[in-house]
Amino acid sequence: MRGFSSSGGFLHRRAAPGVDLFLLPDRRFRTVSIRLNFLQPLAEDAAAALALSGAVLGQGSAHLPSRLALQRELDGLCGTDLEMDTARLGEIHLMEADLALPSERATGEAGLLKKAVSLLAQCLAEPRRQGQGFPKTVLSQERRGLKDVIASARNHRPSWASLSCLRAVCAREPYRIGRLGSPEALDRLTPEGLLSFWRRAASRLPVLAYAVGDFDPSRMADLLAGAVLPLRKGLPAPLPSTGFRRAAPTRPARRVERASVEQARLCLGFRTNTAWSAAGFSDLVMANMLLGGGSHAKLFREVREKRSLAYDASSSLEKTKGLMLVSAGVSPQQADRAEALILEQIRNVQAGRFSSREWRDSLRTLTNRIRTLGDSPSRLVSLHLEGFLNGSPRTPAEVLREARSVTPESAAAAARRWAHAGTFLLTSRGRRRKS
Amino acid sequence: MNTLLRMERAEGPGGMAVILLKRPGFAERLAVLGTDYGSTDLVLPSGRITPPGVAHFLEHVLFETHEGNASDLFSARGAYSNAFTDYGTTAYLFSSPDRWQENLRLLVGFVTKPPFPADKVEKERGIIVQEVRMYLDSPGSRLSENLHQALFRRHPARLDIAGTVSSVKAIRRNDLAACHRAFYRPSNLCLVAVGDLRMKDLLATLRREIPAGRLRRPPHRLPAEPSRPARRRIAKRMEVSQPQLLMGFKDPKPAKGGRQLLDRRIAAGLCLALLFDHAAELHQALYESGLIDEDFTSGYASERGFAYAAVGGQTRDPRKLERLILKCIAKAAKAGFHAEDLERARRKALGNWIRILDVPQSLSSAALTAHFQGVRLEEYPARLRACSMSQVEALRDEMLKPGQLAISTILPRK
Repeated sequence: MRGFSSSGGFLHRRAAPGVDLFLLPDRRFRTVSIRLNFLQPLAEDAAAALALSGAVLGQGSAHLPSRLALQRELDGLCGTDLEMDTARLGEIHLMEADLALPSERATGEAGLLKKAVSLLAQCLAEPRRQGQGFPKTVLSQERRGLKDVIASARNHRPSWASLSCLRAVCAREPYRIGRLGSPEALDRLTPEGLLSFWRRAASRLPVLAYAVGDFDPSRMADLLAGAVLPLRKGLPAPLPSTGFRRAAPTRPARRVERASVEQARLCLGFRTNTAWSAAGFSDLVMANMLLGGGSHAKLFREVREKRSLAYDASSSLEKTKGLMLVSAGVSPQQADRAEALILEQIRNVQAGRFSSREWRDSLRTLTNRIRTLGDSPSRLVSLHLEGFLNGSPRTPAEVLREARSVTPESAAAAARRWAHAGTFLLTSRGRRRKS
Repeated sequence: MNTLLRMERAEGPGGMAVILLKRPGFAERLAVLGTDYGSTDLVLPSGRITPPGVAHFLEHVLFETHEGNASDLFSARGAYSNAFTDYGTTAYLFSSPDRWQENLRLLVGFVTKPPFPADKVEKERGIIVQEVRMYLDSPGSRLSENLHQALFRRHPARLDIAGTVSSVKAIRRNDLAACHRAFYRPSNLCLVAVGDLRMKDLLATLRREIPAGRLRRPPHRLPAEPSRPARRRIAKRMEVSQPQLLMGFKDPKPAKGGRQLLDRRIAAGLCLALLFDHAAELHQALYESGLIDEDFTSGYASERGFAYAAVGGQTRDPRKLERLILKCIAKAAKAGFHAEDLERARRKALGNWIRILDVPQSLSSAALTAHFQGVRLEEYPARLRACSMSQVEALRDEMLKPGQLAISTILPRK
C-alpha cells in the first residue's frame, strides 16, 4: 500500500523520528482496537511517574475537565473504551493508551473513529492542569488508587506467588520493579514535577502506535499521527533495552511465605538463557510447551492428572527478559512432593525423555495457537510488539514456519539451557518447614 | 444491525438444539456443547436428592473416555478444550482451526456417552478438592458465594458451585451416572458453533453420533424461594489488603425466560449503569472521595429461579459505601432518571454488544445461555432500543429497595 512499508504483517509508517505506526486493517472485525505505547527503561522513579501520569491523564482533559465529563463523551461514542495502563516487557516499561470501539461500518456512524481518537489526543496533549502542574486533588486520588493496587496484589494468591518468585529471581535487577513503581516512589511525585515529567516523556519517549480492525489505513495513519505529533519536541530517546540476561546455574534463591490459606502456591523461576533473537528461540518455545504449555504437557499430565496433586500446574515464558515460571496450586502437605515431581519433569524434558505423542501434541497445540493468532487483535499486537522490541518482528506465518522446524533434539537442548534461579512457596501457617 | 450477527438455528438428532454463529474468514472454529443442567439442579426426576457439587464433578469426569482423557485426545489434534459449570448450565468446548469434524465427534461422544471408570472418578475427586480449596482462598469467590448465602433461603444457588470438600467426598459414582442419564439427554443439550462453518456439515456429524430417538426434557425441581433475602449480612475475615463489599438486591419478580427475561435484563443493565457506572455522578463522587477504586462494579444476574442486582468492590469503609449507595438509590427514586442519560447508557450497551461479536468464546457462551433461557440473542439491539424509561424506573423501584438487600463483606484479619 502506498506510503507504507511492511513490518511483521503490519503496514508500517514512520510518522516522525521515534513515532512508528503499525496498522492492520481487517474488515472481518466489527471493532477497532488502537494502542499507543510509550516506552522507557524500567526504573523505580520513572515507572511510578509514567504509571501515575497515565492514571491522571485518564481523568479528563482541559476540555472535559472531569472523569465524569470524559466518560459521558466516551459512552456517547457507542461505549468507546479509553484506558491508560502500564506493562512491562522485560525491562522495558510501557504506558499503554488503549482505545477500543465498534467500527463505523458496524454502527453505521461515520465520524465515530475520528471523535474517539480526538478524545484520546486531547487527554494526552491537553491534560487537566492547575497552575504549572496536574490538579493536586486528581494526583492525590490517583496516587492513592495505584498504591491500593500495589497493596492488593496479595489478594490474588496465584499472581502474588508468581510475582514474588520473579522478584526473588531478579532481586538485583530492574525487573524486580513493578509496573507501577513503588509506594515510596509514588509518594515522591508532585503535581508540577509529574506534569513536567509527562511533557518530557510525551515529547521524547519512543512511541509505537498500533491499530487493528475495520478501518481505512491512510485515514487511520493521519488520525494517529495527528494525535501523537503535537506532543513531540526534540530528539527522540532510543528504544530501551530488553534486560535479557544469561545466568549460569547457581543455588536457587528460596523464599517461603506463610498465610492463612487452604491451598499452597508453589512457583519455580528459571533463566531460559535463550534470547528472542537467538537461533534457538523456537526451540525454547517448544520446550516450554512440552513442559507446561497446556493440558497435553508433562506438568498437567504428571502433577495433576496422574497424581491428583494440583488443580493447576503449568509453565509460562517471559520471552523478552528470558525467564520461565512454573506454577502449581497444591495442598500444603503435598508441596514437597509436588516440587520434586516438577523438577523431575524438567529433567525429563532436558534429557529429551518425552514420547513421540507428547512431542506431536505439543507441536500441534503450538501450531494451532499460532494459526489462530490472526483472529485476535490483541494477540497480533502483542506478537508484533514483542518482536519489534527484540529486534525482529515476525508474521504469524514466519513464527509457524520456525515452530515446525524445531526438532526433539533442539527442544531438549533449549531446555538444558534453563537455569533454576529461585523458588517461592506461599503456604499455610499450620506446618513448619525447613527452608 | 442483525446482519452483524449471522446466526442459524436447527434441531439436531434427539431434539438437540444447534446454533451456528457464522464468522467467515476466521481460522478459529469453536464449538460449545452445553446442557441445561447446573449446580442448582440437585433433584433427579425421580425425586432423589444428590449431594452439592455433582454437576461440577461431572464436568471433570466426563473427560475420561474409554480411549483416554478427552483433553489429551483434543491436544493430539492440536485443539484447545475446556469446560465450565454454572448455576444453571454445564458446558464443554473446544476450539481448533482444523480437524473440525473429528473434534466435534469427540466432543459429542465424550459428553453423551461417558463410561465413568471408577479409578478416574477417584482421581478427579482429588483434583476437585484442590479446586475447591483454591476458591476458598479467593476473596472474590468468597465475597460472591457469601452474598448468595445471604440472598437465598432455599434456592440451591446459596451453595458453592463446586460443592464443599465434604460434599465432594460424598459423591458416589451412581450419583454421577444418574444425573448424567437425566440431564445429558440430547433434548436437554444445545450445541453452539462459531466460525467459518456450514450448518449442514454440523448436522451430518451430529446424526452420526446421536440416535434419533427423542426423550422428554427433564424437569427442574427447585424449591419455592421467598422474594425477600434470607439474611441481611454476612461478613468474613481473610488476608486482604482492604475490605470488600458486595450488596445484592434480590429481584422479587425474576423473569422465567424468553423476551420477558431479555427485557428485564436490559432494563436492569440500563438502571445499574445509570446509578453506578463511570458516567454516573455517584461513581464520580465515590471515586474522588477514595471510597472506591477501578474495580467498583455492578451487574444483574438472572438464572433459573432467581435474579438479583449486585454492586460493590474494594473499599476503605464498607459501612459508609453502603450508606452512600442506598442514599443514591433513594435520591434517584425521588428525582427520576434523565432521558439523555438513558440514551447514552443505551448507546454504550449497544457498543458492548457489538464488541462481543469479535470474541468467539464470549459470543458462544452468550448464545448458549440465551438459548436455555429462551432468549434470542439477535433481538438484543431491537429490544434495547425499545426499552423505555418507565421500564427502567419500574424495575429500580421494585428491586432496589432496602427490604431486598443482602450484604457480603470481606474484612482484613486483625
